[in-house]
Amino acid sequence: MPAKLAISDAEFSYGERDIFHHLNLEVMSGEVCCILGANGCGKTTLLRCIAGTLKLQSGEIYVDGHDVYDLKINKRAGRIGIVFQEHNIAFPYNVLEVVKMGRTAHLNLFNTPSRKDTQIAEEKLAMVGMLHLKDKPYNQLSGGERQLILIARTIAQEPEVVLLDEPTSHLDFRNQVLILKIINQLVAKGLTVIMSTHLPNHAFLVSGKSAIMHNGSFIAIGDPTTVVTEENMKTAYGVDVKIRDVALDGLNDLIKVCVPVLRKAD
Amino acid sequence: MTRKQKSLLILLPLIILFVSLFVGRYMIPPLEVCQVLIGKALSITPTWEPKIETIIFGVRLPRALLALVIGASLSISGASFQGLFRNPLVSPDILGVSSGAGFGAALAILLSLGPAYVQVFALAFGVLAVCLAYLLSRIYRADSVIMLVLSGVVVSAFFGALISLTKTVADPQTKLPAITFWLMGSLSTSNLQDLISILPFVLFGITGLLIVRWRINVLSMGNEEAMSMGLNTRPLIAFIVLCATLTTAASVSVSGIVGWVGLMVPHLGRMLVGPDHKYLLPASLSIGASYLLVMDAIARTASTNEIPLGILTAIIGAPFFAYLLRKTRGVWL
Repeated sequence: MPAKLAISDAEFSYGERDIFHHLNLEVMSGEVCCILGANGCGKTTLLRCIAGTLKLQSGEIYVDGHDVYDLKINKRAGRIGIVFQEHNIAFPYNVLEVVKMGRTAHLNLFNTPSRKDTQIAEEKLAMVGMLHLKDKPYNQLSGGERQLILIARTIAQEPEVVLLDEPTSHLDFRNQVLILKIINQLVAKGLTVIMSTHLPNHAFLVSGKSAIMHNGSFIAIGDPTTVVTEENMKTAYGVDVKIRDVALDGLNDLIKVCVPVLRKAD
Repeated sequence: MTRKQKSLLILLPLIILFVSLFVGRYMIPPLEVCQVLIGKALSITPTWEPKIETIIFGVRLPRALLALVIGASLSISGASFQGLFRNPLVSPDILGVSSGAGFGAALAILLSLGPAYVQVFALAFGVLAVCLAYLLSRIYRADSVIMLVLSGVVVSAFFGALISLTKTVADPQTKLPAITFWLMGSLSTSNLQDLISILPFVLFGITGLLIVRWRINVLSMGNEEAMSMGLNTRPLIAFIVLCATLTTAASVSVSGIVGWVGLMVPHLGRMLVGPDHKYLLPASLSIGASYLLVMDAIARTASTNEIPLGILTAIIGAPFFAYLLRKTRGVWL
């Protein structure tokens, strides 16, 4: 089966500053891929390139065999949606209005969202469990609620590939788990998800593969149990970690956890 | 937008238009205004003094219609630009249209070219200033609206200096006062011809903005985010700038510089119908039209010498806005 999303020999730099080079990655349909790496290693830049809002210096990104840069903006948005990390909203639109904006790619120039678009927006809000907030002003919501609303907006766009940039940053423990649950739900519905995170444990919690980014390239790609290792974490983050199996219910239900080693001497 | 708000927004300018026909230094009883209006519509032989007909149809009606059109233009442009630039402090002249138009008018006055040329020069230089700002922002190849605003500020400063330059060389007895009064804004010399000449620009611009108004919501999420949602932002931004510039430049070319309306009215609109541009733009049209019509009625009624409109919009508008800010604590922001 051909990959849903294929990145080959991707290279990007901001002027003199090299961000990444010779990146290769393939993500299959219905797969989650966690991109792990330290702050500033280029995860966000890569996601923006995949979304087509930044252009690679060289290399290609294909979605379903189409070069993302050759697709028209609205066609591309119909295939790839992204939830950005930094987000500020200039006007206090209400939640439903924000989610309806996700329908832009499906409307022609003279159209505004129809009743059907509103219905889709409400459906997606219900999917992330936020329908009760639909008439609230977006800017009065908590960080976790906002993240869920933005995920709803992105899936209202009905893309096949969803990119999430640090979807759990700034969120409390409960909301982190909630977001991870929703990510697993999206994948169960057949969506392809690529998310960046700097929390290794999240790689174990979502059912998919991991890619570890360091110094502008991937140092390992594969199943989290094989690539999220103590050595790789030491390389990527420069800290000592221990990775252990924890039994959830009974001995057959094991999950790996990663904890940093902090001795009193440190 | 509720039905009540909708009917209020439709009726408000019409009621004020009617009232403005009978108030003035020469008061005409409302009943007589009705008589003349209905009589004229049904082509009844006049039973009223011809003087009254001249005041209503020759003076007050064209001027009132101009005030409606200009107030509506400045306000819808302001609301669109505030959305486009994601900033509620933006006014329609952020890209230099007013300074450009001011310089055009000042230049035409300096060259003794006559009122028609003043209007044409104002329109042309207003559009030219915005074109310059737009091109300047494109030189950097950045798809950033910040760059556009910055270019606008640069161009405004440049044309502002040119206005000062024309003032220093203008004849202080005749031309300097004419330039100064033009810059303060007034509808005292306006006539039906002015209205007809700006109408095509204004109609094009307003229609264009109304068509894309929902998309301004998406654009206000930021350029990159809007693109990721499938919006082709570059042509849309250019189109919004074009529409807002044509309406503003055309308006300013007959009224002179009338500040504050384009900044304040969108806020009144947000208080009433919320931030969604789908409702905000039509609301701004109606409120802006009504507001400027009231201001113009005061300008021509309050004293024997007309108060320049540009002064009045701010002298009454600013305290009124401050009061609203205090009363609502800015919850709509």
